[in-house]
Amino acid sequence: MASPALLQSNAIADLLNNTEWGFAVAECFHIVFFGVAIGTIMIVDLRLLGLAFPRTTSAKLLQDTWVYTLIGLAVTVLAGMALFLSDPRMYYLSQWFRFKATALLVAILYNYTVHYKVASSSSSTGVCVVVGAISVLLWVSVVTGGLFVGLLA
Amino acid sequence: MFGSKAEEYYYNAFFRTKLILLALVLVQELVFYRSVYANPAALDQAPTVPGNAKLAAAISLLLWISIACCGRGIGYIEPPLDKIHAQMLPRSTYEGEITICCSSKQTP
Repeated sequence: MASPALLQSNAIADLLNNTEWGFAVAECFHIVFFGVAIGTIMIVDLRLLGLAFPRTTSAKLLQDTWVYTLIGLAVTVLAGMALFLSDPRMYYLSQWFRFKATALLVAILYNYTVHYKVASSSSSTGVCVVVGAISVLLWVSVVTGGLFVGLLA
Repeated sequence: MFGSKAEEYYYNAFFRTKLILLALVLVQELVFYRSVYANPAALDQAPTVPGNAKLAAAISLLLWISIACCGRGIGYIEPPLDKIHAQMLPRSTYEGEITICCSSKQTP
């Protein structure tokens, strides 16, 4: 397995580090598409929590939003990988990056297993509330981790 | 957050653009309020989404994406506060200094 030190020199790092706006553009893609992903997940979560969209079901909302969630997450992860390659050593050693990466992995797994199953079926209100609350907590953790990666680099 | 570095934010082009875009969001809401936002039930009943609703949504998305990008951009530029402060000093201050400087050199 390649160590972070060996990854320091790569074509993506050169592009992001040696152009004036390369890193900023990659970050914009990362942030905007993450907004799309988390926003569409939050629509389903608000319904699961019983806080919004009372005239429709979480299954219908999930059916209408899953494509945007998937595209959002795919672009976010790809742009995130490019950002990581711009300075792998710093990110690898950052406690906040490790926290964020772990939270993201757990959140994605949770989203496509428990969350998907409960949102697409007619579970009891209590189960829906717990599943929605855990989803919100996980995605807020990812955002918090991401913010601190930049602030405490 | 603005208060923590008020002067830097004030002179930051991305921050100013972000504020303008936020104001445009409000304008967009007001412009499309009657035709789109005031009666969402009518949109649900319409067989297809009306053109003005699509336009409102497209402008809204564009504005919010631009706001997010400008927000990221704020950290990438540092306004030249030293130059800005120098330009803000009254012109008479420089003229006075030059006069004193020249007059002292010319004095034997």
